Amino acid sequence: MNVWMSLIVSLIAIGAVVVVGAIGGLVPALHPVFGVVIPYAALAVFILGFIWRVLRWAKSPVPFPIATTAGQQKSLPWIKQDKLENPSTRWQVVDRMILEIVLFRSLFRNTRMELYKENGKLTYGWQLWLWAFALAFHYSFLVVVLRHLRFFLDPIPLPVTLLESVDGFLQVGLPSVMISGFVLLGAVGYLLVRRLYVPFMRYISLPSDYFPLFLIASIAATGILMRYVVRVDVVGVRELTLGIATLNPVVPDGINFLFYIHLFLVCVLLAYFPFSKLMHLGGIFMSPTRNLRGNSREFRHVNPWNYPVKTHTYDEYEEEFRDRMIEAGLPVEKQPAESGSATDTESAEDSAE
Amino acid sequence: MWRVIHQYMDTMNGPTDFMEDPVNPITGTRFENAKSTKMVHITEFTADLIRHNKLKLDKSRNDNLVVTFHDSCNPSRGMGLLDEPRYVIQNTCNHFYEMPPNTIREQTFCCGSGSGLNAGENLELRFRGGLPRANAVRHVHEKHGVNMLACVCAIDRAALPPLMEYWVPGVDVTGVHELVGNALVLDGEKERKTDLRGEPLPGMEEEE
Amino acid sequence: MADEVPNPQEMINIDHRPPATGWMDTPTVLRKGIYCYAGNPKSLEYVGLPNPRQWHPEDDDWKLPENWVEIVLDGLRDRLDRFRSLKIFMDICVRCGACADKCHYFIGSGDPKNMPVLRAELLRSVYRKDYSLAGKILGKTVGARKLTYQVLKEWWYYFFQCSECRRCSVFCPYGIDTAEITILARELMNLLGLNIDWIATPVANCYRTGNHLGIQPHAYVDMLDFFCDEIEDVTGVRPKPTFNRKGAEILFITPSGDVFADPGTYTAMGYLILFHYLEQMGLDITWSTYASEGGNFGFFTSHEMMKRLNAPRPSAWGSSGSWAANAATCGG
Ligand code: HEM
Ligand code: SF4
Ligand code: SF4
Repeated sequence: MNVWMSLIVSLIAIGAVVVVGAIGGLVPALHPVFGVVIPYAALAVFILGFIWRVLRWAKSPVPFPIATTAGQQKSLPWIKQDKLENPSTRWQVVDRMILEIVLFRSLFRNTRMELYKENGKLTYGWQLWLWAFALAFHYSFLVVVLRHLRFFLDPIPLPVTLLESVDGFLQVGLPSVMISGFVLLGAVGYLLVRRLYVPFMRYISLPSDYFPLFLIASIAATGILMRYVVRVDVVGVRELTLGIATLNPVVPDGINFLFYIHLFLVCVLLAYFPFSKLMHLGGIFMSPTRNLRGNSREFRHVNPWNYPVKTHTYDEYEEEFRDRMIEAGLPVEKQPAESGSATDTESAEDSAE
Repeated sequence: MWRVIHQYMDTMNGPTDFMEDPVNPITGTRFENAKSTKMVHITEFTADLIRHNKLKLDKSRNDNLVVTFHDSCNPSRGMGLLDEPRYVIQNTCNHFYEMPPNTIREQTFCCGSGSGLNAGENLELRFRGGLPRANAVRHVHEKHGVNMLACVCAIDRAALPPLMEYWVPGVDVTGVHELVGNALVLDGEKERKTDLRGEPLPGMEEEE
Repeated sequence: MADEVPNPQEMINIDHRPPATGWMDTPTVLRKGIYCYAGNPKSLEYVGLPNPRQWHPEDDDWKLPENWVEIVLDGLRDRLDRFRSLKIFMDICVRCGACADKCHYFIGSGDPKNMPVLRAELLRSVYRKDYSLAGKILGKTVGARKLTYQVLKEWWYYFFQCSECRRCSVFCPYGIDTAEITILARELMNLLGLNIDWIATPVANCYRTGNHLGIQPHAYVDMLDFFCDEIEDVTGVRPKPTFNRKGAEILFITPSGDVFADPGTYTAMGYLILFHYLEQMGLDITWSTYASEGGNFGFFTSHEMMKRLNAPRPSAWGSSGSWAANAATCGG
């Protein structure tokens, strides 16, 4: 799959989603389907799929404590442990995880390798763009999602209103401009351009990497269009969304088809989520290299499937080498005369179980 | 192997209740961090001895060496053994320089021959994979005159010498405890003229 | 052999630009100097590893069992059920590329399949084909492909170009550890007898003699004796190590490599000197010829083999030390 094919495939997929959404919006008879049935179905797929995924992961045990230790271990009392990068208690793990999840700690380390062929030198410069744009992307996405709660809750909770006033602090335009949407679009743009521009990124990318970016970009773009350009009937929309939230669905007339495209895109995102890489949201919490302690010599980690294995016991070892051991002055358990009787221990099971 | 001991061994073959908790008999230090596996890394042991002033060390015997330290991958990223070997090195020799920060500690580069890839027929792979490590050594070799690459891994001691010879001629490889062996002043020892390799000690060159 | 290696000026001419064809459509050609030789059948046989036979990586026919695809896929399923790490790492990679230029083999070779993310995709693509509906239906479009002979060879080539160093996992935002994927992929390939000799033979040696190099007890004692001679020459003092001594307080285990070849031997001498010094102060330490290996190449074969080779350590304690001091190798 080269980059053009990948782009074409994912663009076709997005195009199809938009067209289907538009049809749903343009044909009034379909409004109940696209305004009510599909959103509920998508939500159900999202919730059940998410749970199914997490349970599927949880079903497999973590047999060994394989934390990636990215700092000094806890050892001698006078050596300073790096508690965040090599945690030895549960609380320290929590701190590490918070940094990972809230601040993308590991991505913050990112470097870029450069080879100077003229003098054969390699350098690894600190590279923060990916980290910065990834943070911008995720946080603006979060803010956008939270702001949308105003459509699903009545009365609108104070935190949501507050968030809106922070988000719109620039106070430009009417309706006032919400920054998050533009940041989201900008960050998605960066991630997309990076994928296309950096040769190795282009090389590793699959259609399933472009598709979510296009999807989120389309959601943001249709949202921005509705807010600033095509002015949809917000009151009607809120009637519909509140109906969904209160399990009391209504389908008001006169909502612009653009809204149906937006909504259908969101539904696709929801339904797609549990079956895609977007599940990194759940996975990061369960990643064994990050959420385990590094104290594995201090406390024993139990492997539920630890089974006995065939080992080479000391008796078998001595049996084979006894004469030479005696010659070399090594102590032996049995003297040569009695050794004949020991051959039946040949395939002893692991005694250390 | 230290990854195996640190992260796997107790789970696989433990519990080792029949053994006693590890205590350094000379210093009385309890190795709390190893109380379940009862396996202590030799540099943890030696660092503890040095810290308690139990070793009589003559650093100047290593004065011919300008040392840097290669963190082996798994002791750093599968355990976190970073400062113990450094402490031992800094107490056994006078000239120690770190390689650039992005190439040491948890960001250390592999010797290029880890995980069983230390064969003879794949030298090209080993030299390619060892390039980042060698490049960082070359940096301190040129900047500080480093001529000795210390490590805590026996595979490194087999893999790094040809790598150095290929990319950074003039840098040799040593184990941390070779430095200890040279610096340690034994009761009743004669005046040492050479180090363990038979190379003349600093100031002894003419007498050879 | 060494004269076949390109010189440093040629070697440094590394092209990090990926080829024009997509990675799935770029056939893997095994190149001399990069791969290691196949495991000696005698070594496989000695420890009971499957499918011992003579074969060469450049042969077309690797003499696999008839049902090898089934063996691998069953093995994969089994490991997905036993290792949460594998399941999660198969599912959540976003291909952000943060790990890509962190791997020393990629830096040194420029081969895109040495980027940790693509190394993992080699296995992930097969996983997708089998475990995701989309993969079954859409195939390549979603990065899924069937396990073919060519894919297996590609696995073998690239999973033996990963040293399980975990550098990639430090940089991955989700901690995806390609070393873990390599460990399990090698485990799968070992089901078919696809080990390399530099692992298989040390494993067999270690099982038999307690150390990778196959040093037998009397030879082990001789070697240390020789070091004591050398130390005496240099210092005038002779250490007196003991072996397999019951009731000693500490058991010391070191990799056999340090007993065998320079410059590791000088490090072994360092241990002897240190212990001699401490014995004057009351240290009670012994060496074991049975648990005479600080490394564990079983780790590079399978979790089971790692456990089998590790077993002598605690049981050697049983009869001698009450705890152990250890100098060792890096990963395994
Ligand atoms: C705790 C939660 C999350 C964390 C820590 C997290 C972290 C990350 C990181 C570090 C990246 C890599 C940056 C990049 O690829 O550019 C990423 C990528 C991405 N994340 Fe998240 N994420 C989280 C939740 C989510 C959620 C809820 C979504 C929902 C839409 C999401 C969508 C994406 C997408 C689409 C990408 C790919 C960007 C690309 O293709 O370049 N993430 N995430
Ligand atoms: S850093 Fe992690 S998520 Fe990003 S491409 Fe590599 S393995 Fe995948
Ligand atoms: S673990 Fe393997 S893939 Fe990851 S950086 Fe190390 S050698 Fe490369």
